[in-house]
Amino acid sequence: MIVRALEGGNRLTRDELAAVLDRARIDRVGQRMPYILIHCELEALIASGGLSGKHQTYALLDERFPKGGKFGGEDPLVELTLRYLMSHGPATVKDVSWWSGLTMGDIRKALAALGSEVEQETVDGLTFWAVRTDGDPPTARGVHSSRRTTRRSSGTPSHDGSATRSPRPSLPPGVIRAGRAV
Amino acid sequence: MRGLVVLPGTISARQPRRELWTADTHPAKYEGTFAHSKLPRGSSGEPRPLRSSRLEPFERSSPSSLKERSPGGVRPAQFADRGLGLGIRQALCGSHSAGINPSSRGATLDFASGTFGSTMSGAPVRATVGVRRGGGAGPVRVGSRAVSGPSISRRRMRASRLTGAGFRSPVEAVGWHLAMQAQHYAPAKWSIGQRSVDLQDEDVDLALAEGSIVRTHVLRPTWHFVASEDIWWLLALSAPRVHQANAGRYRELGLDGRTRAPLRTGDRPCARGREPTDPG
Repeated sequence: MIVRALEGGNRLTRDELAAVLDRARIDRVGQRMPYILIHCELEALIASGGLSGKHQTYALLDERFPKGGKFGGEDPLVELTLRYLMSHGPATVKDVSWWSGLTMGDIRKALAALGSEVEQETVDGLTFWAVRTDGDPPTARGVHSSRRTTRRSSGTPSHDGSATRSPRPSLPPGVIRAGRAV
Repeated sequence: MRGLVVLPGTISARQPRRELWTADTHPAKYEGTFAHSKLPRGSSGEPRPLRSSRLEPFERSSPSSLKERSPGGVRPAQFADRGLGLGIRQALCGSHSAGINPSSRGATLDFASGTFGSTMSGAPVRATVGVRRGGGAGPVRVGSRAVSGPSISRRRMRASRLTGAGFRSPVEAVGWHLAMQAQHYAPAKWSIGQRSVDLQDEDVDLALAEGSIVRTHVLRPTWHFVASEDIWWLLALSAPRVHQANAGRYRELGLDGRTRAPLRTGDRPCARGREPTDPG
C-alpha cells in the first residue's frame, strides 16, 4: 500500500502517508505509525526522499537507488568492521558491536578475517583495534578506501605538558560518576 | 581552527543561502564550537567555558530527548555549565552522530581529575580533556612495547575528522563514517558540518534530495545518514538485527505478520532480492 502510493517517483510526507494508511484502514495510532515506517525502511522498501518544504519525505528505495552499487564480492561484515575502525577507531570489539548492532562474535570473526590489516593494543586493560597504518598500505577495499589516509600521528609534542594542567573545577562529590548523573 | 568560513564569491552563483557554521552569520554557534583558538582565555590559559546559550541548536531541537540520548543522561549544556573545555564537548556532542562515543551505557567521565574515557567498556581510558593543549599522550602499549603516542580519544577525533583535514561534501563525510546517526535532523547536519570545510546547511538538504546520501533506519533502531552507495548492503547486513531489536515493540503495538503483510505490497516481488524478514 505504502509502496503503491510511492510508486512512480512519488515523494510523500509522513502526514500524507498517514492518510494512505487511513484510507487502507490500517490503525496508525500512537507508535504504530513510526514502527510501520521503520519496518518498511528495514525491509528496504522506503527511505528518505528529501525535504518537501520543511518536512521530510519518504520515497521508494529501489526507485531512488538502483540496487547494487559499487560494493560487491567482499564480506559485508568485514567491510563494516574495517570502515568503522578507519573512521572511528581505535575501538574495542564492544564499541563496534554496539555501533553496528551486530554481535561481538561477528566482530571478532571480521577482525580475524582482517588479519594483518588491523592491529591491537591494550590500554588500561582494554583491547583496542585500529587499522594498521605502518608498512605497506593495506589492499584497497570499499568505496571510500582511497581516502584511507588516517595515520596514527606520531604524537605532537605537547607545549605545556600535562604538568601545567590546572585542576578542573571541582564538583560536588557523587553528582556524576562514570558518566551518569546519580 | 577548521576552515569553516565561506569565502565571498564561492556562493555567488547560487541563490542566497543560509550560511551555516560561519563566524559572520552565527557568531555564537561558531565561537563555542570551532574557534577554539580564538576563545578568550582565563588567567590559567584555559579556554573560556562554553555557555549553554552556545548550544542553541541542540537546545532547540528537543531537550528532553537529547537528555535521554546524551551520555549518562547529561545534556551538553550541563557539561558546559561545569566549565569543561572544548575537547570533551566535541567528543561528546560532535561525535554523537558518528558513534565515536557510543556511551549511553558506558562512557566514563571523571570530571574531578579531568580525564575522559570513551569506550563502552566501562573502565576509564585516560586522556586529557582538551584538543590542542598538551597531554593525552600517556604511554600506549603496543604488544609488549610501551610507546608514546596520542591518546585513544585524540586518535578517534582525528579518525572522525573532528581534527585534521575536513570533508568537502556531505557524501564524503557520511561515506567515510559508513553511517552517521541522524535521529535529529538539525544537529545531525551540524555533525557533518563540524567535520567539513566550506559546507552550508543547504548542502546537506541538497545531498538528501539528490540522493547522494539517504536517511533511514539501519544498524540500530534509529535514523542514520548513509551514502547511497552503501545503503543496500548495509541494510541487508543489519536489518535482521534491527528487526530483532524492534520485535518487542512490534508485538506490543500489534504489528504482527498479518498487519505488516499489506504494508509490503504491492507486493512487487522483484523489488527485493530476499524474503521480508519476520521477527515476530
